[in-house]
Amino acid sequence: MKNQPVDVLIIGAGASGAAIAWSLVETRMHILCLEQGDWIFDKDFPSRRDDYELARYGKFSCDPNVRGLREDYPINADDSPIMPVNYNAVGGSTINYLGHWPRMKPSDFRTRSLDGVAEDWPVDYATLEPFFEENDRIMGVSGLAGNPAYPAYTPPNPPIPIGKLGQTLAKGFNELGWHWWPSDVAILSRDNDGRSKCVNAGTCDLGCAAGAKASTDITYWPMLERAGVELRTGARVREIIVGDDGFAKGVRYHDRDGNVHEQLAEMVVVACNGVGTPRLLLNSVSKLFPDGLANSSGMVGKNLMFHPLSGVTGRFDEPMDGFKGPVACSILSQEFYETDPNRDFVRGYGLHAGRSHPPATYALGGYGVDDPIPWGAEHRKRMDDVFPYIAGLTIVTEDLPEEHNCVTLDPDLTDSDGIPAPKITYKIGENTLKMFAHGEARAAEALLAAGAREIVADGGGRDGKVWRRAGWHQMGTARMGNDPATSVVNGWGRCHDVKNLFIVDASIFVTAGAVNPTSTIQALALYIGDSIKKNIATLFD
Amino acid sequence: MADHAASLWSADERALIDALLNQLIPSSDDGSIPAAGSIGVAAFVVRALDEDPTLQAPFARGLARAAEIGAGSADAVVRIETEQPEFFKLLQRLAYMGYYSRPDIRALLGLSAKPVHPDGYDVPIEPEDLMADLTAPVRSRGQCYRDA
Repeated sequence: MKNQPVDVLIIGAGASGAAIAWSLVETRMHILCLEQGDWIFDKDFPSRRDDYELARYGKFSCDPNVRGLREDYPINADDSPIMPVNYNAVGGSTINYLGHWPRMKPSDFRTRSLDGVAEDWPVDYATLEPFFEENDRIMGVSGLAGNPAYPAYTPPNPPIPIGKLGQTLAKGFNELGWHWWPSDVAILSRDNDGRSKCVNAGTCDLGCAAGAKASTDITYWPMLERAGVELRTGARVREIIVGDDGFAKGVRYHDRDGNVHEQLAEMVVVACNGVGTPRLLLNSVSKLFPDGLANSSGMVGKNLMFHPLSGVTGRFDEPMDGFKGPVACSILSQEFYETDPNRDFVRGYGLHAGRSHPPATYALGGYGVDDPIPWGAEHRKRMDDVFPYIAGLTIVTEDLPEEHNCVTLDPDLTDSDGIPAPKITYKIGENTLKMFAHGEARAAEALLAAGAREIVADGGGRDGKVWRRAGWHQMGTARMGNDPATSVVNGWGRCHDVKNLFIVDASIFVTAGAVNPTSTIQALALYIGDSIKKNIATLFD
Repeated sequence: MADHAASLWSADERALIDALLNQLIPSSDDGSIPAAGSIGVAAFVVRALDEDPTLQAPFARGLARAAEIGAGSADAVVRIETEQPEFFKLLQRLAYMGYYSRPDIRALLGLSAKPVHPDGYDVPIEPEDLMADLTAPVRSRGQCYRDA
């Protein structure tokens, strides 16, 4: 079946797809977005049910292999200690992300020049700054101005409560003379723009039924639909079609019933995240591109980066009320973020004070790992004497790009439409392991300085184990660069090989930083949209 | 649902599941927090088995061995855990899920019994002067990022 051709075809209605659509609205081009998932409504979120915690282990798991919904694609992560997690719906993974919103920092874009590792980005912090600001306003970010770990900026809303847990840990960091700051979050601290403020339910990963957490289905998409952007849900793209002239002609996609449609477009924008994007490019094989689309460099799928994380937990004398309030993050220390030549690793990590778990999640091992707490008498002790009193710090490390960490196509596994599924091959790097050792010791120091009675193995994934379900941030698999031999897209997201094909998700990240990426993903997508507008006369030259 | 489940698992088997659940999550010393078997978490366990028939055979095998060993003491349960790890892990997981997702248990642990939306929890936003005091030492040390 054929559809009316469009000017701009965006694949994916998540963080980056929504942002670039917004940037391009003013061009009056006909914009169509194809999304494999559906709309999800607040009444459907599990936090309105009595047994809401169970959803975390079923149809609202962050692990697509556990959910196994029609709109999901399976991911073979047998050769990776970290499982990529996501959500497929209008809003993409902003539906179940935690809304933690630190930006990448100036040095993150210059790791080669500053530290001799990885590569410099062809874009820098100063260039992205106005786009961070625009996106923060649209998403409704809350935070405290004046953080000395960044060039000056002011979040549009005041901070959400850091709570007893955050206040307690802050005093520990102050005691040691270390940096900390209330976290920026894409969660409303006050009613704003028709959305209501956070009710501290602590179920951000199960979708925000209050609408306080900024997922793009409730921030960008209502504006986009009013502006005439067309969104087609239940549309799973099988491949990008290329003409004999080497330009992208459009896509073939499956509707909900599996029927194949062809959709032609003047320009194609890929916004499927760091696993979905290389999967789609590798599945788009043609005579001109036998190794996958836009892959003459061989870099499609390579240099996969996550943010490997582990954690440390302290037991305090008073209840910490950790289940009250947004999951991540209360406060954030970037004391060990920048490279220090006196350490045995390069680059750095953040210490994140996420809040703790409600009881079922705690007992089963936490958000990140399946490692149940003991049964029997010890179980009683943990629940009565430890659970209420804990506060922890996660060590969120900067991953360095390594070619052997990659996304390829699984030879056997497919989604429900028969499209080959991605396979992850990934090893935690030596540099990261050294960071863990350093970070776990520092985290324990901070907890003890904050008044923790002892460091405990809490079964909450904060006892030195690398989290399995830590693959929220999937970056680097179609990286930016000025050299077509070593990168997939140029400095503003256009594929070196295919001049009317753009990539706007975290695949194009050159480095990972040690912060949650969505703020930077969307700023970058807005910047790419802006560059498209500026270059419109010679866009495909 | 309970009737249907009862048809799959005999009364003896149900009693054994209850006994195992009481060992996994015992009551508090003062009895204010009940043990898992005593409040009917077994119904959750058998419902989960009902919904995923692939679990039934391994569960039945493990349960048969547990019947031989008995569930009267922690030592016996350790033996079951050692000899039937697949069964035991499944039972432990279902026990924790079934027990802690109950509103009455949640309330005993200090959480709200109600679904967490729409009411959530009351956490006051810190007054500006408190945040100013707390962050003063951080601000006083000045810039802590590298220019690039």
